[in-house]
Formats: sequence, structure tokens, C-alpha cells
Amino acid sequence: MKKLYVLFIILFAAVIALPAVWVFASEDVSFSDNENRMLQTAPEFSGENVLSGDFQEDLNDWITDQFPARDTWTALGSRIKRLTGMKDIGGAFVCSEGYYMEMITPDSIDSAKYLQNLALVKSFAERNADCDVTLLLVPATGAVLSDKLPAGAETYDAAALLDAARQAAPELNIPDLYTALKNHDGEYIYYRTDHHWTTQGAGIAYECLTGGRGKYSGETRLFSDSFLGTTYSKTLDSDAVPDEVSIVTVSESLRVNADGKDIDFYFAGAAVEKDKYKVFFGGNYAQVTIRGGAPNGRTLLIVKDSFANSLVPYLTADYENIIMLDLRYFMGSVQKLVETEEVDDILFVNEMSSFAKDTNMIKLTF
Amino acid sequence: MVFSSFSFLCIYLPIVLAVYYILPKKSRNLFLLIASLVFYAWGEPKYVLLMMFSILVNYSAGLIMGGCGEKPGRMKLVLVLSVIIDLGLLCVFKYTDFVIENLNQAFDGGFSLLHLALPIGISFYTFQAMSYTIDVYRGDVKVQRNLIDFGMYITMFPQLIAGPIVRYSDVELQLRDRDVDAKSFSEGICRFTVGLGKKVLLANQIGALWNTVYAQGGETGALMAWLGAVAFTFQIYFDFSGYSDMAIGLGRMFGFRFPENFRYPYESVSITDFWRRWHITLSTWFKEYLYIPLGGNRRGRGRQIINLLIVWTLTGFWHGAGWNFIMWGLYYFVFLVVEKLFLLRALDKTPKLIRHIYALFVIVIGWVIFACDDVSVLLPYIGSMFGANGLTGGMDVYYLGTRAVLLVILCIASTSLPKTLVTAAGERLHMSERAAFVIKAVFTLLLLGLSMVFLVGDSYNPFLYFRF
Repeated sequence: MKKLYVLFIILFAAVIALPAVWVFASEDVSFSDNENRMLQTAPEFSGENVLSGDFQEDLNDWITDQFPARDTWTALGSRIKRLTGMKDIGGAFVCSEGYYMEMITPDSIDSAKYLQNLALVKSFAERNADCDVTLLLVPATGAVLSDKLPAGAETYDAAALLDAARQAAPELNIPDLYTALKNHDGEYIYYRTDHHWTTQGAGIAYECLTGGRGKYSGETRLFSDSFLGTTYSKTLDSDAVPDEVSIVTVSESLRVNADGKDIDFYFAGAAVEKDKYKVFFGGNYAQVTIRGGAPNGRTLLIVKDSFANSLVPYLTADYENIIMLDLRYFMGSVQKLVETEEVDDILFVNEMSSFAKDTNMIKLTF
Repeated sequence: MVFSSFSFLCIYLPIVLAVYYILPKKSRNLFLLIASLVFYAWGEPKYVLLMMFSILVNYSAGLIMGGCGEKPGRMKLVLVLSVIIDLGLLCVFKYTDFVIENLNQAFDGGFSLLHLALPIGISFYTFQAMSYTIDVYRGDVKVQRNLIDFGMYITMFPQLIAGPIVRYSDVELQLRDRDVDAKSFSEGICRFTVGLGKKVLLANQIGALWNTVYAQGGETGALMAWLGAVAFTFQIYFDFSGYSDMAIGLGRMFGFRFPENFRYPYESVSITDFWRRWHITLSTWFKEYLYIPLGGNRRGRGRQIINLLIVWTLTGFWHGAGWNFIMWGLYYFVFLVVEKLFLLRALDKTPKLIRHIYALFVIVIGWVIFACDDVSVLLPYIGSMFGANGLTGGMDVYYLGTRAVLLVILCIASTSLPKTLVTAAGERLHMSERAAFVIKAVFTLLLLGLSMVFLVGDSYNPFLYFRF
């Protein structure tokens, strides 16, 4: 009997101590593709670090982040949660037809902030009265494909948010993108495993934006059929069916500059990266300038979040120059840019809930 | 450091256990003292000094009282001084900002807040230290002349930050002489793991639901409000009793026997019953060191009610510097008095089910008071529970549906049913001690593994009782 107790104690000690031994002994992984964040690596031991408590905190994060087979355990954990009937895991709804949607509940929308940002856009439009200003508010997957949400689950009411915006800023051009997308809700307009819209969804937005007068007429081709995006990463569900990422053909003459560096219009390397949505410019930058589009001398300024990245290819058929600003990173004066680049049209592209929590719109006044 | 973190589980605990058992017996207390100070300093290095000061004050008070011999007046003076210092530190660090805020509000004053971080566990170790000095004064325990042993008693990491409140008299003998064999060590592991599972697999999982509901500012349909209240009811029980289990289990691994802190409180049939089952070591402390010295029930009904009022106001306030905690204490005062006066006798004649429903109803509403640290949310929230904003709405059906299995597990796990079933099955099958242990060991290791899986998966791991 005593031997049995001792064996049990040894097993217990092994289960709790071996992960730490493993982390100590093995090489640190510095980046998690699934979470899209840097992982904690071995913390530096110093008197200062210990006194401030940083060392202790980092040590814990280190073991947590470098835990052996971490992704496997996370996947197992969410599998167990799903078995108990949970349908929101790590901030994503597990929906029907293989969809994983960001869990943006109606009460998470800060309507005061939403109206505040709207007012900032409005006064920016007033200061630039000779430009055509359009605010494209993008509904999130769950707001359009609401029939795929788990029973009883809700996300924000995109139609109501659109109405609120139109009422608060009647002079702004705010296309009814919600209805446009809703009319196509049987099609593959949003990724199943990522929070973005597909290239096809972006195409519908292009139609809606240009009122059918857009000049784009290229072809669509498959870029990757193995895209497992951000909403998948929250659950790491092994049943997930990868998405297809398509791209539309664009003119060969386009020259793209991102934060001072010349880049390809489509980033081919994304095919072997985890985030295949990165095929659009390779990610987000403070400023991306695209020149050599339709030779009509017109310039479009886009103030945007990442939803715009897959919409821009279409717009190259209508503008010679396109400047994309991501206000999260852009530090210059938007107003000055409008003047020096002699911008004709201005387009805001933001997903609604991200517009409702954006803290950078204030930069429009700089 | 919290027990449900990897730095504790995978680094601190294995090292401390290994070194403790490698060392010869006579240096183990010193090692445990040092290890406990490291544990304490983990999150808040500065406050170790505060705790050391507290140790020295109470240790010296004990020594001086021991030397007073025949002079009871001087003994009393020393006791009073040490209690003033203990409670003074507790008040300064825990309640100053609360007092300033309320003074500012009452007199439109502009005193600035101190923003002192609450030293972890100060409410617990202060009470432990006082249990020593008061018992020395009463002659119930011997003076502890060994500073290391005394320091180790105050700092013992298993119960340092969240109890149980181990009175000095509970462990006086164990400080010098305690033995562990493989069997009781194994029992300690099982107990610890059950506690870890309660915390990680149950409390953390349901806790998020309360946060979701509470974030809506108390304006929800009745179903949602009840879901939130029930979620918190389970969260706080599994969080706190899980922590007590872990403490008791860890204590066992080092040879200590700590008192039990919970006895299936949600099986209570009255509020009087509830407080015999919930946070038992705290109620015992208040009874021993406040209620009985005040005269308890020996000086007539009127005086007893006043004593209860004092005890329950302070019990509430002990839980945190906020009006909601005081209200929560007073709320229980009212029910306890009403039960004492007549309700208990009336309840005795009603069916057990009715008594359960009554007790649970009072307890759940009590937790809402407790949990609404923003007092302005409290009334709307309780209003919502009784239909002020309609019966249903929002995502309540979704949450009920997706948490149904979890809620059933929580219900069963909060009763003595699992234990009864296991015992009955063991008897029925005439299981040998060996077979029973193997099953228990496998279950424990699975539970440990599962808890670690969830710890890896959930970065969400806040610990509720840090406010105290």
C-alpha cells in the first residue's frame, strides 16, 4: 500500500514539475501565429525586476506562454467546453455551417463613442467640402449572417446603427452596406474562420459604394484554400474547415509604397503564413500609397481599418492614386495630406463595432 | 502568487516541497518561514516588511505578557496595545480611502485619497495574529518563545492569503511536532487537486457569466438577472471553498491539519444553518473573540441583539471597504435575529424543501448585495430580478441554454451528493482500500491534468478573494 502512495506522489510531482523543466530546457518560441502576438520569453533576473514585481509576473507568463503543447491543450479545453454545450469560446461564437464569429454583443457597443466619432468624421467632411466624403460602415459577420448565430445569440443591430449614423449626420454619404450584403447572405461573403469579409463580400461593398458605376472589370482567382483565420484561433477547433482566399486581378502598372518601402500589391508570401488575409499588402501600415491606377488623375484618400485592404483592389480601376491611412499608426496631419496630395474623394472604411470604439478619429483634427 | 497559476504550481510548489523534505526536521520551520515570505513577496515585495512588523509586534506582546506574571493590569495593557496596532494597520491599509471618500461626500471636502494598495491577506493574518495574543492573555495557549515558529505560523503560505483563518490554538502543537506519512501526503494531494478543480473548472467558467450580466448595469430581464445572481452564487462558493481546499491540502502535505472552512453551505435549511456552514473559521473567530467577550447571549435578549448587530456589521465590513459589504452584513443580521426570535421555530414545522428554498433565496439575494460593489447598481439589479424590466430579453435564453450543463454540474458539485454516492458505491462493491485508492488517485491525476489544460486555455484567471 505504501508503495502505491509513493507512486502517486511521484506522478503528482511529475505532472506539476515537468512542464517547468520542459520550459527551462527547451528553446523559447517567440511568436504565436494563432494569437498573433509575441510570447513571453525567459525573463531577466535582476534586483530591480524582482522589486518591481516584473520578474515574477514575467516568469508566470513565460511558463504559461511556453507551456509544452500549449495549442493542443487549448484546443482540448475548447473541445470540452463545446461538449458541455458552450457556444462562445475565447470570445468567438461557434456558429452553424462552420462559421466562427467574433462575439460582439449588442451591449458592447459604446453608442456615445460611436456618435462622437461620427461627429469627428462629419466636421472633417465639412472642412473638406470640395471632396466627396463617404463613410462606409461595415457590418461584422454576425450582423449579416445572423441566421447562422447559435440559438438565442445576438450581435449588434447593423441596420439600427446605420440609421443612427444617418440621422446624426444626414449630410454625410453613408451607403446602406448592410442591406447590400444582406441581399447576398446566401453567398460566401464572409470568411468562416476569420472576422473579415471575403473578396467577394468586398466586391459587393464596391458595387454598393460606387452605385454600380465602378469601372472595375477584372477576374477573380484563388490564392489559398487553407486559411484558418482569427476567429478559428480563438477556439482552435479541429473540425474547422479552412477558408478560401481569392484575389482579383489588378493592373500591372500599380506601384505600392508602404511606410516608405516599395512593396508588391499582393504579398505572395502570405500563402505560407498563418494569416492569409495578409495577401492584401502584407498587413496594416500607417500609410500605403498606390500610384499608377486608372489614368484619370483622380486621388482617393481612405481612412480605414483592415476591412478596406480587400476592397482597395477594386478601387484601383477608378483612381490613379489611392492613399490608405490607418489612424492607429499614422502620426501626421490628415488635413495636410489632403491638401498636398490634392485629394478628390475621401472614404472611411470601418467595421461598425471598431468604429464605435476607435480612439484615433481625433487625429482627423490634427 | 495564486495557487492556480503556473508559477506556483510548476515552480514554487515542487521546489518548496522538495527542499522541505530534504532538510532535517529541525530546520524545516525556518525554511517554511522563508518560503512563505518569498510567496508573499511574489506579488508585493514591499509589504513583506509590514508583515514582519506585525509578526514582531505580536511575538513581543506574547513574550511581555508571559513575563507579566501576577500583574493582570499590565497584561491587559499589552494586549490592548497589540490589538490597537494590529487593527490600526488593518484599518489604515484597508479602510482609509473608504473613510476619506465618505467624509468628502458628507462634508463636500477635498481630501485626496491615499491610494494604498491593499496588502494581500492582511485581513486574514491580522486575525490570526490576534487569535494568538488574545489566547495568551486568556491563558489558553502558552507563550511562543521561538520567533521562527511564531513567524511561520503567521506566514504559512497555504492559508496566508485566503484562509482558512487558522487560530493559533488550532496548530500550537503542530508547530513543533508534526508528522507526514505517504498516506496523509497523498490525501493532501487529493484535497489540493479538488480545490484546484473547483477554482479552475467551475468558478472561473461560471464567473464570466456574472461579469457579463453585471456589466449591463442592472437593467436586464428577470431571467438574465437571476442567471447572473446564480452564477455569482456558484462562483464565490467554488472560488472560495476551492481555495480553502487547496490550503487544507497543502497544509496536509506539510503535516498540518487546518480546520474545515465549508460544509456544503448551499444545503442549508436556514440562515442560522448557513452561517454554520459558510466560512466557518471566520464565524468562529468572530464568535470567540468578539461575540462572546461582548457578552454573547448571557445578558438578555436586548443586549444579545446589539451584540449581533456589532458582530454582523463588522463581519460585513471585514469583507471589504464598501457600503455593499456593510449592507450585506446587516442583511444577515436581520435574518439571523428574525430567525432567533421566531422564524426558526416556525421553519421547523415546514417541509424541508420549503426551508431549502427560503435559505437559498435569501443567500442568492445576499450575494447580489455582496457582488454589487457599485451600490447604485444594486437596487436596479434587484428590481430586474423581480421583473422591473420584463421577464426575458437580450441573450438570456442563449446563456441559459449554453450553460445548462455547467449549471447542473455546479448544482450537484455544491452538495454532498457526490461524496455520498462515492461512499455508498465503495461499500456496495466491497472495494478494498487498495482499489479505492487507485480509483481516487486516477481521478485526482485526471482532475489535475484537466485543470492544467483549462489553465493553459484560459488566460482569464482572476482571483476573487484578493480584496480582503
